[in-house]
Amino acid sequence: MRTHITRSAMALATAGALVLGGCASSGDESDDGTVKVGVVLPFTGVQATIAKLEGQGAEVAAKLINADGGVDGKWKIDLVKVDDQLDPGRSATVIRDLNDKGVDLAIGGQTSDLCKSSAEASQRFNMTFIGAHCTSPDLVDPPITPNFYMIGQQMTDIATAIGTGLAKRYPDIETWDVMTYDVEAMRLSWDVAKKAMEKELGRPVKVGKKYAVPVTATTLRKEISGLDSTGDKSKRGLFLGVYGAGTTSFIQQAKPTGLLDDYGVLAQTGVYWPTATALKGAAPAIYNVHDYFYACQDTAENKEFVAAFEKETGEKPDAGAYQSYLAVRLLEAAISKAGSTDTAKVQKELQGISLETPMGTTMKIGAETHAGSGGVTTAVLAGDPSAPQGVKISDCDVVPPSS
Amino acid sequence: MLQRAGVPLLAGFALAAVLMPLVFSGSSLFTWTTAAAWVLFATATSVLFGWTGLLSFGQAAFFGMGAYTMALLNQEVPDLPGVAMLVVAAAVAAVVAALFATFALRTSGAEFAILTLVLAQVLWLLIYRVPWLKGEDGFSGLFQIKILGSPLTSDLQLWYYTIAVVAVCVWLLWLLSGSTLGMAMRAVRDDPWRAAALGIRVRGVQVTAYAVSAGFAAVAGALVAQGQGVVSPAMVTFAISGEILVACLIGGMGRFVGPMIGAVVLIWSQTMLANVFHDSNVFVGLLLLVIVIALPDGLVSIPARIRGRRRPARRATVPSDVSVEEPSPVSEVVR
Repeated sequence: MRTHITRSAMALATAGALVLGGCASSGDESDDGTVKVGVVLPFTGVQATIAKLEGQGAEVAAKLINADGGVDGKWKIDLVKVDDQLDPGRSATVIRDLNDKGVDLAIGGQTSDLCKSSAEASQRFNMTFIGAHCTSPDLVDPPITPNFYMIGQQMTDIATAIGTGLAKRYPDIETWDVMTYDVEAMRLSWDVAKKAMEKELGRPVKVGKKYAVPVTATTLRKEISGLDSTGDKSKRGLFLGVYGAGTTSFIQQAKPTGLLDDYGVLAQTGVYWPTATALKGAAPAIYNVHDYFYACQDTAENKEFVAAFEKETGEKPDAGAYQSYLAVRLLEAAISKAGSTDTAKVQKELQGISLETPMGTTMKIGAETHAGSGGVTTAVLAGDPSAPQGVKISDCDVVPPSS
Repeated sequence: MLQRAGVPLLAGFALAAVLMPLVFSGSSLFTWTTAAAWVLFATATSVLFGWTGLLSFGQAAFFGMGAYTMALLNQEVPDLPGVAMLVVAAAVAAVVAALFATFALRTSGAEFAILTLVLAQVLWLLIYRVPWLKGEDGFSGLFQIKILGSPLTSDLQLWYYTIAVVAVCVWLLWLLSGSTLGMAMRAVRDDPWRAAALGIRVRGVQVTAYAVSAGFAAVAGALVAQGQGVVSPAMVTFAISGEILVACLIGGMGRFVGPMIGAVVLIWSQTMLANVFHDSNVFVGLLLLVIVIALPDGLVSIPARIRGRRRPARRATVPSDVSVEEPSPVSEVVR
């Protein structure tokens, strides 16, 4: 019977090798006038709706660049999309898949932990990785890995902008209830926003109910019951540090309680656009902050981007799409400056590079910090059946990057 | 004698260590590295589930405990050698498991299984509630852990390191399986009352099995964390506890290598189907369900089934009023 151990172990090794041999491949560097750019996003799972828009932003950037003759007139962009399934463990595998396919430059990273795992894995191959959507200041200055660059605006800038904006526009709110994802960046968003509010108002801000929920949470009834129990809400505000499926779930579950209409103001850091459009004209008005809202920018490049995105998808771009667009544009600029698609040369050029954005601001990547600072936008997004995609964007404020 | 000492097992691992990098590279080799760590996790789980007959729905607690212990050690004592970190991770998990089992084993069966689930859920919640465990953000930088004085800079080095650690750990479990303690575990599983009558300290054996299983599961978790470079709460979810039980069932626990084969099949089916389908977990679940239903004794029962088909059936006629007791799938572990 003991011989089974030998047989089984050998069978495991050899059968695996033979049967799965087709899976093995070697990374071959293509120099055929194309440059492969990996797009690492959770295309399936609870954040898939956001990821789809983000992926489309990268596609539009690639199409516009390719239509203009390619990067520096030499290289057409070939996007290689991989699905990290919102799982840091999976992202370690898909980064290796990209390396196997000869990809040296990649963008993506929807959350801070995904940016971390993608950056760590890509570091093994010196693959350039641009964290397009993560916002945690912990990821930069110094960067978590030398090959990592972040262009999602840092949560400190985003939260300061919304805190200041809320204090200016809604000075009569006395108490704030808070619900955030239980991730450092989103918890931090409230702390920073509160500080900015207090600075603008010149008085302390009172905090009512405060909840932190897992990023995968879709059942929020316990938190909604707690918020519902706070009595008169005309002088209360609700600060949401959730996004994507979390926002959708919250609105769907809170709507029957009348909670959303009772609050003096609803505010959110993070992506609201996909949720608002999905509610088809019935989205509650939320004071939102993000890098970009398509209706708040009046520049020629923004018009071109919005028109191209609409042509490609039939929809308006959101902040996630804009970030992916910008990440690809940034790679284009760095490759052009380097005159090469070599990952080491591209990384060198990314340090300290500047790029005019569709927002009308200039994004500069810190040479030491590897953080892109490009300004943020605040606006009210409200359901309106007559507006494009059923969402009206108003009360825009573009906050330029701090020098 | 050589077989009793586990030499063929070590030779199998040595062969795999040499052969895999010749055939696989990049993502595929990394998948084998992950599978190797899961081989250890499955074998460790089998100590509890297969050898001792204790069902645990909370193995992820120790898998994750190993990963988090390693991450914390890397943060606080970055110069500590990686192997020492593995030993500390195993010791922490084994001590926690022994303490937990001392109290939890006052119950048995389903009640014990539920308590193990509660333990894992408590740990998962602690990760979100205790600030230094960093909640959803987790830890990064585990690639920097030093093995023999320097970090593992390539996937090939990671493979050799992982397979070496797994080989040693599985070999130790093999020796345990053939030892007096291993036989006592199986005696306790088969009939605790009879085992007690024979002088075996049943509770002591069960607590030891739980601690051993936890310690080696922690090593597996730490290896996976080192391979990924990051640690996150995803390593402590119920899904991990469920997947490792499924791996044991797929491979079959009638033989020592059953859970090992199950782990390889699980990891590879997850990886390959994820490359083909969106929402691949549904298809992975269906595939594994089919395997478990078609082969209730696991993949290790295939050779016996084939031999059974080749031989002419020589069944004795059983009178219809006589019930025949089916042997339990885990009634015997053949080494």
